[in-house]
Amino acid sequence: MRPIFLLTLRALARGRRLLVVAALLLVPALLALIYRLSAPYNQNGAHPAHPFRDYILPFQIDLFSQLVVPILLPLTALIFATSALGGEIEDRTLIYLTLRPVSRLTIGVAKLLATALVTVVLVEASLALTYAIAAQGQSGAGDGLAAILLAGLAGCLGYVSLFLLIGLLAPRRALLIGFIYVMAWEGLAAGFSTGLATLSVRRYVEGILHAGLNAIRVPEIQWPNVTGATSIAVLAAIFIAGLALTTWQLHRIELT
Amino acid sequence: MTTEITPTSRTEPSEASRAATGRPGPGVPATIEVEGVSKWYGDKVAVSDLTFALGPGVTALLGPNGAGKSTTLKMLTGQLRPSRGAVRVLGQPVMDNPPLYRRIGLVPEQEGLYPFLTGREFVELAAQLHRLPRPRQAAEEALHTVEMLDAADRRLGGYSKGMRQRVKIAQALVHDPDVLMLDEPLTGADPRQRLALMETFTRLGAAGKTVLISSHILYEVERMGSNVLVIVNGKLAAEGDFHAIRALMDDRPRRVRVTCSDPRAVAARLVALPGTLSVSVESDALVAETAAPLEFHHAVSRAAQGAEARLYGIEGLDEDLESVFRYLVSR
Repeated sequence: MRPIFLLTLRALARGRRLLVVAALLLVPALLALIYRLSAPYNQNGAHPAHPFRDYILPFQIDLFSQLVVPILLPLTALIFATSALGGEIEDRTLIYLTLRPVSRLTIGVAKLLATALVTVVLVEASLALTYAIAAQGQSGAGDGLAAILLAGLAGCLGYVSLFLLIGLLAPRRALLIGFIYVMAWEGLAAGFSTGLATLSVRRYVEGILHAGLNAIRVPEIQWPNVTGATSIAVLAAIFIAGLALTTWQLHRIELT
Repeated sequence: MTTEITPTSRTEPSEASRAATGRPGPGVPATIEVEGVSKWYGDKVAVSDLTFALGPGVTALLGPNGAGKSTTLKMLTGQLRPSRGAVRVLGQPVMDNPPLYRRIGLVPEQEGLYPFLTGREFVELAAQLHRLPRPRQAAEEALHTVEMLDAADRRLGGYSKGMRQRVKIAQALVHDPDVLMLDEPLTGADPRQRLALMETFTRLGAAGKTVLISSHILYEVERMGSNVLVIVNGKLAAEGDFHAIRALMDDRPRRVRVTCSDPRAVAARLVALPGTLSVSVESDALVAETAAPLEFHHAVSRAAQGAEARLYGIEGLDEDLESVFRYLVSR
């Protein structure tokens, strides 16, 4: 598994793809910087007693649940995951992995882990940087960080597994299909309707965040009606199902 | 219709020598078995009802571009699933059979490689995936075989076509496979490299490996394969000893176009020649089909002279390889 894992890491962590993703993931940090510089909670001479808990943390959670989870995180996973296997099919290099005494499950796991690692490192770095900029110098800083990182991690794993499969099923159109799915479903539909959100990854990432923030009182946030345990179970199921279907597809794929 | 080549002048090889002919026989089991294999995509038939068996030695898979050679090789290496029929390599089904791949080497037709890897890393990756005990050393030896050690530390993205071909051959040889399949392996190689690679394949065949090489170039096949499979339009057109097939190709009827000032008068003389099968007359030329092309060429100028016609040109109409293949299929 190690050679395929390392090969995939090298393939993903290079070139324009990495720069595009890095630029995308800097957006939340820039927004956090603008927020801190403008400090809206201090306007009109008001100086709230707990600016971090009452303003900055809710802003971060809004940023996470409205921008990172439905848009930036899945786009990052999409860009890497569709390339990990779909790129090999498009470049016609997959034969150098499949015509070896290596099981299809091993190929699938190695590809999934390498893609997840790249995605998780970049997304978590973005989340940590955004948090650090927003929370810098505030009392109570550190609250909620673990929950945000944990939810980010779970979201990365769920989306990567899903998009790895899409990349294998439709290598030529995977980016387009994934982009439409992210923008239309995770971004719009799941935000408008609780019923539709049940079929989104976003809902369960927010569920984990909510569970992680349980001890922290955060005002004015609309949380999904799902427990942390259920959210973790659903995302784990998506992760495993994605891997199982990817392996199944690797068994039956024909390389024309 | 398949043409079985069994010329009366050829003696049957002994068991010892058969081991290097590419043909299975008593005591020499088939390493590649193809039974009634067809492959189609929707309405398009890529390969139709192929049946053959190969043993150790070099076999050339010959046919024009688009004949179905690559599709056949892809089915033999488990990349494509036959729509009908069965493929077995070393006695096992080849599709989705990773343990079997330890004994198969493939040089695919496509040029796609990992541009960010060096040649050495690429071949070493293959050695690692085959779980060789000393992958670095195995990669070194394979790169040496294809004369790529000098460029081994350059990235594949900067390789020429010939270098890419050779590094693809190295990754196929690195685990010393029992069955080696190569799709147009000499494309892009310079003449000296071609010779060296052909010698390598011949040596592997003589050592008891089954080597199947696809090519559309007769000259390459002549150098490497005593056993030949000819595929045309997805069908097996001929199989057997190369020299017998070559003789069949040379003896086939040819069409010749003769341009002259009085084609009708010249045609009247040519039609009387012993080898002439048919003659048709056009406004400024005649097209004759002859079973004796050499004699026909000699007779044309005499016929023109006798008919007091001016001779402008003689042109063979089916000297290209495609015509040769078409002829084999039509027999």
